[in-house]
Amino acid sequence: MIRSVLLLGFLASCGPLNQGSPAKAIAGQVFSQIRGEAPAEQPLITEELAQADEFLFVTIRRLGAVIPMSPAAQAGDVQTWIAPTGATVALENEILVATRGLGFDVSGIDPIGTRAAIAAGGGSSSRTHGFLTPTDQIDTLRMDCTVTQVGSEDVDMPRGTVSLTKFEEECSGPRLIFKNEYWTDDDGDIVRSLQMLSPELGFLLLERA
Amino acid sequence: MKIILKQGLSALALYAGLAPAHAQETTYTMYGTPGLVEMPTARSAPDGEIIASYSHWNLQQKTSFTFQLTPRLSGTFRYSGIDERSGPGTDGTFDRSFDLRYRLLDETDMLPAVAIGIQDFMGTGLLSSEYVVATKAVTKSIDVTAGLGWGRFASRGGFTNPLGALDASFETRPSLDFGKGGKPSTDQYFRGDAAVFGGIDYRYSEKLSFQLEYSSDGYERESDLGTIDVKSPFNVGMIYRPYPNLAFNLAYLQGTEIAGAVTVALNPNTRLVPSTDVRAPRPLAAIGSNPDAALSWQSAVTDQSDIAKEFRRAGLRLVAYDVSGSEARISFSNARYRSDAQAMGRAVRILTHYLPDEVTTIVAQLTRNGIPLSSARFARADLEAQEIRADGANTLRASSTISDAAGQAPSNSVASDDPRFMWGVLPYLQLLVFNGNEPVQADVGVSLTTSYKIQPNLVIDGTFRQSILGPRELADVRVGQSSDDYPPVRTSGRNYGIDGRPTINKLTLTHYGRPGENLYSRVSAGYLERMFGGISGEVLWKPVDSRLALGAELNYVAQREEDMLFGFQDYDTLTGHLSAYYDFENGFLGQVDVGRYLAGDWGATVSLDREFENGWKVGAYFTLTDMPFEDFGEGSFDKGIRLTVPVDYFLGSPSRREISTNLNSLSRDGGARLNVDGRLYGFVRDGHTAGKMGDTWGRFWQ
Repeated sequence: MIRSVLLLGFLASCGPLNQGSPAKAIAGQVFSQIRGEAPAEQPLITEELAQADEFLFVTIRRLGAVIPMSPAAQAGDVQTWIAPTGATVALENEILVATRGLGFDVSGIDPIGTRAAIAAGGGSSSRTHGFLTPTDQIDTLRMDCTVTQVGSEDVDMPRGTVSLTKFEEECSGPRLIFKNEYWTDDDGDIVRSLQMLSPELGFLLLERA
Repeated sequence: MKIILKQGLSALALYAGLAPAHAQETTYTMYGTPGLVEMPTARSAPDGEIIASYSHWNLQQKTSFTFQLTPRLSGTFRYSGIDERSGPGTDGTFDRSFDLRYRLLDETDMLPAVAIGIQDFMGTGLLSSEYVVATKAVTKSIDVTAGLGWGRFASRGGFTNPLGALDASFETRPSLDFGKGGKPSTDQYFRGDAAVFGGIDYRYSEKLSFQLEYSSDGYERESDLGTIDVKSPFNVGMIYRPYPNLAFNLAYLQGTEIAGAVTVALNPNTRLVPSTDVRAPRPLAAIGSNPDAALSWQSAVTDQSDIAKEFRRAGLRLVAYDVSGSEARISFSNARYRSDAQAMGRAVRILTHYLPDEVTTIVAQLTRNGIPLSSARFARADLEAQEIRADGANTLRASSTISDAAGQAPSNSVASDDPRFMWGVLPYLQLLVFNGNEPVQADVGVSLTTSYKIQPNLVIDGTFRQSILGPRELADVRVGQSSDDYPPVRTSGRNYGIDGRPTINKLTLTHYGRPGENLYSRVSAGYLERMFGGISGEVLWKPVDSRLALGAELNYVAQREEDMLFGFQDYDTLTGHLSAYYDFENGFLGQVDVGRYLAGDWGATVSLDREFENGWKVGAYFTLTDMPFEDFGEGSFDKGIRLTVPVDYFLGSPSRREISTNLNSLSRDGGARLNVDGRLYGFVRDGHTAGKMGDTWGRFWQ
């Protein structure tokens, strides 16, 4: 009898009304956690990605995951990059302003004077970062920052080693302290940066190629 | 508390969460309450925490649920099995009990935390005790607790009640006349002898702690009866906590009994899994980015049009549209996201990819069950400006208008290709609890659910079941019922479908409507629930931004045959309620229903739920009617606790599913309401600004 009941449990969850059945999904989650399996992840090279002549390599430093992204949209100073999975990263004048689909995202960032301070070779700036709380509210954290030019260094980039100028932006606020880093090329464009994503996931390494 | 993390060349200081006000994690007793082994401490669980605990020893097995209602107030519901109730070899008993505790003072550098509590304050009083307790951390790893107990907690070392100085009546605890149980025994609280208890908690490591307490519970009655051989007033315990939310207790009670417990804690305020499964939203399209956008609207939009397909991929449905001049209007439905704000944010972002440049205003209407719930008006420029801003969701909310949507549907509807008939088969497990002397019985089988949509707001729903394993013996429904004055509208429930044949649990035709501004209506007819069939009508008044809602429901129903097929019994009745709902700003939902219940008794139900923004809901209710307590039977009147957990909390992927559980113990005939599906308030409030959509607005850009 018990066996027939178990069998029933496996066979019986069917029909269009049960798509996304919570019982099934929770069971799946539990089983894969017990077996220590990572969710199936297939490297996807979409047509957009294959044909793009510009890339942004996005690395979640804490996870070591590299996500290649292609340009999705440009609106004013904001450029949005998209991964084959649909995850997006939005940069405003190359400063990270939003991410979606990375798990623990930054919902929005207001950087004030950061790009100008880098262009000027140093200076002060301020930032506000917005995060979604577990109770679905937006928590905003404000920080004051100092941008300093560190000097030039040779950096391994996706298309070879290049000499870049490094900047550091040290930010501190009542609840959040971090340091972002930026590397500019001869044209003054930021081609590499290490920018704060979220307290849970740490930093994003962004590399242009 | 600040955590510094090194990451590559950069350092990151995590923003500090709520630092605990004391040195140690809260530990839980055999009663499932904050404390040492059996004695309480003045600690509280974190706000909102739900603690489930099972403890077991020779004489007592207790299953407890503790909920930290506010940062200071917590409540506990407990179901206990007590063996050898009247001495060695006698029968055991099952007992329900409720506790309340309140932390009066917070711990400071100099002063201890102080809490007051009443345990098992209504009912048979087997575990009744009251206490005032103080706890202070003396080092980082040692907590010291001392308290004064009454009732059971004064059954060892009792002395004359110091409260007698206030009023001599405190000095005697009257013997408890609990009648049918279930009533607060107010004449007992803090009466009779008092006694001192205390102990220490030593934390050896994050995972391991030890407890030593002097217990003022001497198990006097049990000892007199000879069911326990008390040898020592000291209890010792050890708690092993392999994960922050899981603890195992091992204890040696009264120098004679070994006891164990397992405790699981869940906090709705923390997210269990990252939202990794969530497919990212397609970013907004800026004005000017798609020169061909206007073409999308030149011919009629159907379910096969690109925009309709994109809505569907996002878990939404484009219901109707109207794009002309500078304004685009759509109505859509959401079957995926728990937060209608998130659904709204995704709908407008998709829409921008198909809008001509001259459109400057977007009006999006949210519909559910075929009726519009609210209408949001956004300036397209505001959407573009706020998508990536730190406080973008709130700034956008301030510059947009969200109002009632009655009578403003966009003129062109999108014909649906969805099949009208849907079905699904799932196994079911129903627990029949507190069923006389069987604490838990399970009914297991297969459930077929069907739905036929005649129109979006006119649906035939059916649920059919076949039991495979379950109780099959007819029970005497009058057990625990001392009066035949009332029909067995719920007590006969356990005999429904007991023959093990296929049953029709529900077969209804339901119509939803919008009779006017701020008004919603529902009419259901058919086999409305397991035990009753008939016709049910409801009207709800709920403005989009009003925290108050008023409703009226009237039902004419007849009691179904126990085989749960098509027949009816002789009993029919008119039942209905006037309801007032209030959504308090702090997450508490209150509801009062006044009217006539199924057995013809008149009365009112009062309920209070705490709802967390992420969808968790914990609540309690009670119903008082003109049915005398003696006629009601065990428990005296209907009351219970309910819990709703959103499925996306556990999955990380969006879902509108919820799991609800009622711990309403005994189903009795007094204060019984019709269980009709699709009541208006639950889903109407979801789509309102003074409601879940407003409460979860932070998800708009997610």
